[in-house]
Amino acid sequence: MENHTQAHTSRARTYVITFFTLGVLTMVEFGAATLTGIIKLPALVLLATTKAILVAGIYMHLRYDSKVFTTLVLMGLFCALLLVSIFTVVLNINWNTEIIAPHG
Amino acid sequence: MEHSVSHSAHEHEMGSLGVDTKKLGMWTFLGSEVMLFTALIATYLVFRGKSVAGPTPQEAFADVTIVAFNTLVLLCSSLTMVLAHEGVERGDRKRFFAFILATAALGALFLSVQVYEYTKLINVEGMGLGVNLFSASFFTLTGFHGAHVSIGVLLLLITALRGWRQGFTKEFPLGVEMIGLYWHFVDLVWVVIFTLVYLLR
Repeated sequence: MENHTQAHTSRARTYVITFFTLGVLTMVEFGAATLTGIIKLPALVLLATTKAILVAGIYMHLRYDSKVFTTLVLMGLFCALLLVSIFTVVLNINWNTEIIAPHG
Repeated sequence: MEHSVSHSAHEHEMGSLGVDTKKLGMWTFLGSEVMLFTALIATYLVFRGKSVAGPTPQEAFADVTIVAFNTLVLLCSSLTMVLAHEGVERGDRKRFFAFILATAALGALFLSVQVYEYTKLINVEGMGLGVNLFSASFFTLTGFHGAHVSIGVLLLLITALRGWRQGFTKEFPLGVEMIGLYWHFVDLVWVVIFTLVYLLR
């Protein structure tokens, strides 16, 4: 019974630490948005990916749950990346971080 | 540190993969949602720089302080959601109701801020569904996300009402976990939207 309560307390602590980590990462992201040049895109994508992994791993319990669910998510992500890659090549997604004036 | 998710009080129906079939169904649904939002985000990325007239993303999102605040609101709601689920696991009714209602309130706050942001974008920046490609794809993407948050708030309130009227039945913790998965997914999608739409302007 005591172990059970300890496990719950420990998990609640992990959730709160995760929340503060996510908050700090959001603030860093906010700062990273002011960057210019080639570093901006990878910096923002890296920060967003870290946040997404924390939400899925800790809050959605993927880290502690069956690997079947992780496999499902990875399959979905693979399809998502494939779609974005196809759009980038075929429909010419503009990954330039500085879109200034409309053309035409 | 003990981290394994306790399922002792849950009503489980194990499938051939050795996982709960309801949970598997929920994850499969979320997988299809990944595809929906990827298509919407990719469409936005294609269109954001192809408008023949303004406003542009740089003009519209010059100040994203309020959106950053809204991001923190949604992240906070994920914390309260996971604590509500933990309250059910503990059998702590007070904790469960406090946190699930807090989650619904934070969801409602997120929607209110989004409505305020829309009003500003339409009235001050001159954006609108029919204005240009950037505006149309922006409102479609964030509108779909807002609709998901609205449905989430309704589901949270229904779950709270169910818990209050029927008590913590055997299958109730699993139900709360399902709502939690949906809610965290909506939060996760916002993390991506915040970066690719508002910060990558």
